[in-house]
Amino acid sequence: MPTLNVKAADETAEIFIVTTDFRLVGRGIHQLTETLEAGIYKVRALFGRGEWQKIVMLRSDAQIDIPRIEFGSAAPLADTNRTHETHMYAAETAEPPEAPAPPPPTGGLMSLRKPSLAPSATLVFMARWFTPDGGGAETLRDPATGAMLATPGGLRLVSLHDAESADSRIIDIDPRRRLGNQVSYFTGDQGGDRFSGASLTAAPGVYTLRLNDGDGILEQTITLIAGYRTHVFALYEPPIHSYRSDEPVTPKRLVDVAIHISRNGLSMGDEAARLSDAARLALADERSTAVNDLLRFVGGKFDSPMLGLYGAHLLHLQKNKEASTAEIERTVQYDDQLFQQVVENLVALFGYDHPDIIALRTGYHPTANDPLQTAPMLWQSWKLLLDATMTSPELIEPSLWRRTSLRSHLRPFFAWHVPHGGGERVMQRGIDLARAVTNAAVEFEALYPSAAGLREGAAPESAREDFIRSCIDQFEAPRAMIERIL
Amino acid sequence: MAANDWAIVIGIARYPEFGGNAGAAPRDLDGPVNDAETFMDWLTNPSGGDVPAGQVIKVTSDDFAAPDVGPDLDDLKAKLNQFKNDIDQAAVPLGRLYIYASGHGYGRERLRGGVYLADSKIDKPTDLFISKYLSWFSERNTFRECVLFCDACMDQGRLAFPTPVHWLREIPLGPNTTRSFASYAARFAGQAVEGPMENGTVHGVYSYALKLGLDGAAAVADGNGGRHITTRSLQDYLIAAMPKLMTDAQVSAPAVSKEPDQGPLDDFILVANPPLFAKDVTIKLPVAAGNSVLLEDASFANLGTHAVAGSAVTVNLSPGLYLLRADGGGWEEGFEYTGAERELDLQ
Repeated sequence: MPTLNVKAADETAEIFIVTTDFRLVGRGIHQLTETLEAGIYKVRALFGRGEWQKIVMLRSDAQIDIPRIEFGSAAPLADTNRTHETHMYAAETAEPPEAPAPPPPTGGLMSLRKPSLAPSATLVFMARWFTPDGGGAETLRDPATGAMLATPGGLRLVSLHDAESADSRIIDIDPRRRLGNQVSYFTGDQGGDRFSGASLTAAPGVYTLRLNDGDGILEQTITLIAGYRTHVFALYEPPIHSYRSDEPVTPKRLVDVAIHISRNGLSMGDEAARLSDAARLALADERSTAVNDLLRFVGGKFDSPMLGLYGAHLLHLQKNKEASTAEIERTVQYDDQLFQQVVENLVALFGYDHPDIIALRTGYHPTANDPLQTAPMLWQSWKLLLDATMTSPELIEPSLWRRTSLRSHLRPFFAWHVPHGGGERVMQRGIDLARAVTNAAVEFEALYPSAAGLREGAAPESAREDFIRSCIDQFEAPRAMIERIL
Repeated sequence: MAANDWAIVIGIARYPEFGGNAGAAPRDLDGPVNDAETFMDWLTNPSGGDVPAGQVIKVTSDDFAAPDVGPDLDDLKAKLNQFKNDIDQAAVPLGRLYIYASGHGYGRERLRGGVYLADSKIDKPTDLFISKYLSWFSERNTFRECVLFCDACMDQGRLAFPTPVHWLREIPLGPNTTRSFASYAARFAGQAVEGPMENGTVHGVYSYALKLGLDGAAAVADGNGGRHITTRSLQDYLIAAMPKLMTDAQVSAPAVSKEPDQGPLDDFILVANPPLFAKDVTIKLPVAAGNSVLLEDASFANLGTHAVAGSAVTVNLSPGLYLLRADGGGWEEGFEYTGAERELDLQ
């Protein structure tokens, strides 16, 4: 029988071989060799959220080489399907007005408690449109409108949108504790798929990024590391149902956000950046089959801290993975030693007090009792932190839950909406939670007689603990919130 | 007749206050009611699901004439309570339960999702946690099989946490004997899409692929002379067919899921010996194909010679992989046909 060899240019591409009745007969990562009966097969490969297919007539041994697979990303990387050369050039050449200070000898180590106030980190923010027909100035508004950098607590630091000029320019800003003295605003392609953004220097640490997602204002945490440059890309597109849309101004929908942190500027053709974005999408989709291959490829080189974070969480997903439903399962085993090694590398970059690092270290190290001052960058980190409140209830205080309670859809990032008109909706969310927890308690008492008295505080401690654990998981609320309701 | 099978069909297309950019603007869909009706047709067709019409509850936006907005949670609870009463009084053992739902939707995590309800507002979405209703019925152990088809997005949107099932859980003693299959239009965090289909109406891409698959396109040989649509063959078919029903813009959009997701996936026969699925399809050919072409199946067996007319050939095909090659030798090209293609272009 002939042998079919398949090799993908992308290191972590998933490969599938499919028969005439669409049945899977082989699967692998990066490369695959299968001995098959002579016949016609479909070879399919996935990378990021991109797909490649080829029909293969297998009469004798054959070699199939899969090229780099295009996928869609907010970052205008080479070989992605949401980019223009002008966007790539702008992203690569956006320089902050003030060069960052040299990194400290220990690397990027920093602490949230005692942050360095010297502006030794840099941020490049770029918002951009992508439309199938290249857009047009008549219908596409400035994509950066509403973008802002704020403190971890949400206080405004600087606008990332130049509301007063349509041209690229550098402006002075008031000296502030954590920022440099100038912001460089850039814009381009105003007659087509417009882009705009800002670059600046700032003190290392965590910040809040505020964006308009088309429905309203959302926030998420971003991190700046000493000696590194954080690139944030926000991609806007018209609604996907635009086949029936004839609106005069194209509605703005935030469809993707990509974050890269690199030692120097980010090259749009960089292989690590491409792998990092594919890993980000894999984490968003909870598709972790390629993570061991990914981390093996990256090795100990952590030039891309975000890739390390994505990889650590992808590894962790394997730990609690449900049984695969695949007809041909690709065995992927959780490697605890590799996980801990990755996390320790990340500690050196982000610091022990970073919320995502605290999250990844839960279960391995005693969790600090200090409340988090801000939310983590990643959704999976938030889930781990919620779980950790079972034993460290102080970790997430009700105030942080309330601030982030109106969740958004930017997986794998943890993002939340800022309500219009104050906290009425947040209060309503608290009321909804109280009602849901109470209903769950009624059910819990009915299901488990040993939990009788749960709502009156008369249930045995073990039953109460089991119930709180189930509520944390079910309602994504920290222990402190559940305790208050009970 | 599948006399002991039951079904719940939900299609929500009208969302008068769910729009985002303009406050209380509508955010309607065009597909869900069509999809629900199409699934209902298959469900009650003797060559399809063969479920007695009296054992199906169907709720769609068309049940509510403006200015009424529905279905909301109370509407659905009333219907579901009626359904639960009916099955509690029915003769046991119960056979298969189908749950079909289409509308705007959300994913809580992988393989846990639901649909938003018609009275959703952008600031205050309401929902039906479909996955949990499937679990509720599965854990109850009263049906032999539970099947869920959910045509909705799986991104999180603004929902903080889904509304729990409105019934208390009823877990019987003893092992769980219910086999389950849940199929979702999108992978977790991805969006599902809709568009105009070959029948002239708008459908969800997933639902239309589902219709084709259940009509027989997903059938596979069992090795004993029979052909069946199994849960696994249906899922394999959906993976192949869904991208063929999407526009180029949808296929390349990063937020759109190009394939469905599934789980739990107990492998069992959904339809035994469905009708043979075969359609005429026009295939555009390059000049090198010459005046006539040979058609071969996936094992290179000859299926006949076809004359080329106007740089194209029309052949009657069942879903699968094929080869066309020039009668005089030289040019050859393999291709996939799922039944979803309006035409194939090998030029």
